[in-house]
Amino acid sequence: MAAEKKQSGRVGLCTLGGTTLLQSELELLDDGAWLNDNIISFYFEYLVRDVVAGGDGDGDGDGDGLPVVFLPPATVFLMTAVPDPSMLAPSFEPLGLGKAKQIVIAVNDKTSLTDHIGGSHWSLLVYSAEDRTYRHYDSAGGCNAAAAADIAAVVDFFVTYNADPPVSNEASFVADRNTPQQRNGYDCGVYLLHFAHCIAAGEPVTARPDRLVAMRLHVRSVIDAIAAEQRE
Amino acid sequence: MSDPAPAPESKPKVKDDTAGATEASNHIQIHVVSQSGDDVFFKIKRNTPLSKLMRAYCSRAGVDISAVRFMFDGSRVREDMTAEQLEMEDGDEIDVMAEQVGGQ
Repeated sequence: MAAEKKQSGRVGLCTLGGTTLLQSELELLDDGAWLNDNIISFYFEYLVRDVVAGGDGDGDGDGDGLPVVFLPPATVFLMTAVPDPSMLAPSFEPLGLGKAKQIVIAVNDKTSLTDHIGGSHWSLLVYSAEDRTYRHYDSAGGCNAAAAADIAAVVDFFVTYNADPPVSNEASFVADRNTPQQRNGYDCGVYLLHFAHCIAAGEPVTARPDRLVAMRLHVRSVIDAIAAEQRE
Repeated sequence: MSDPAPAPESKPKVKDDTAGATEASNHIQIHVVSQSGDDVFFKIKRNTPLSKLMRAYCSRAGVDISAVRFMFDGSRVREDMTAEQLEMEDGDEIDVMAEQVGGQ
């Protein structure tokens, strides 16, 4: 037991849904570090479990629809990477995209299918079934506009796949102009998480920009609390 | 959009025979397909944790397990899950996605 485990950083710290966070990934929450997809997936799992309160997200408490569906980065990438999305659509039906009132979609600009690691910018895309609109929240102007438009088109294929009754109206794509903007070259992932939290809580993404300052600490405390809960 | 099928590095299909030639039907064959389309298949017992398959895949592909995400039907596969729990059938496919990052 004397020698410290060489691979201790790869030890799973805690797990929510299908996402296991590694001890080593906590460093990504230090100031200045870029977030990876795993942190985002984990936070999405937390939002689903603890923040999207029962109900359908429209706030009237009657539960007349399904709540928000979150699409983590790996799922989004998989949807966009297949040459023909109709191959995947049947097996994706359990995700409930066709019935969701809102879909929260993590957008990354990674397009290479051969790189083992890639991407440089995160943003958030939110689909609202009510007005058939994909609204893009990008903390760096229109950096991810092209990626988000491509992703919206693919996600819409899954949303409308086998819909009953069939969806006849075209979805629209809107770049949100009131999105809080990052002032550095590393916080886009943090902004994405903040926007996703606002949506989960039923607030506009412009709500409480003051929370952005402490967002890394907040995410860290969420993870610490879940890790502690799982150690018990 | 770049072409998703770069010719030079597509690997031949590799068969994992370590499970033996014809075992009982509690073995199933699972395809592990990378984002570039490489397809490797493994035989695994239905009740064996999929971590075994994931680790075997990573050592063969030369990637760290923390840098890839295994997906089945659009959802992440945890290492402690088994083919049985996920109701996988013979010939089913697990997709492997690479890590994504962003900051700017």
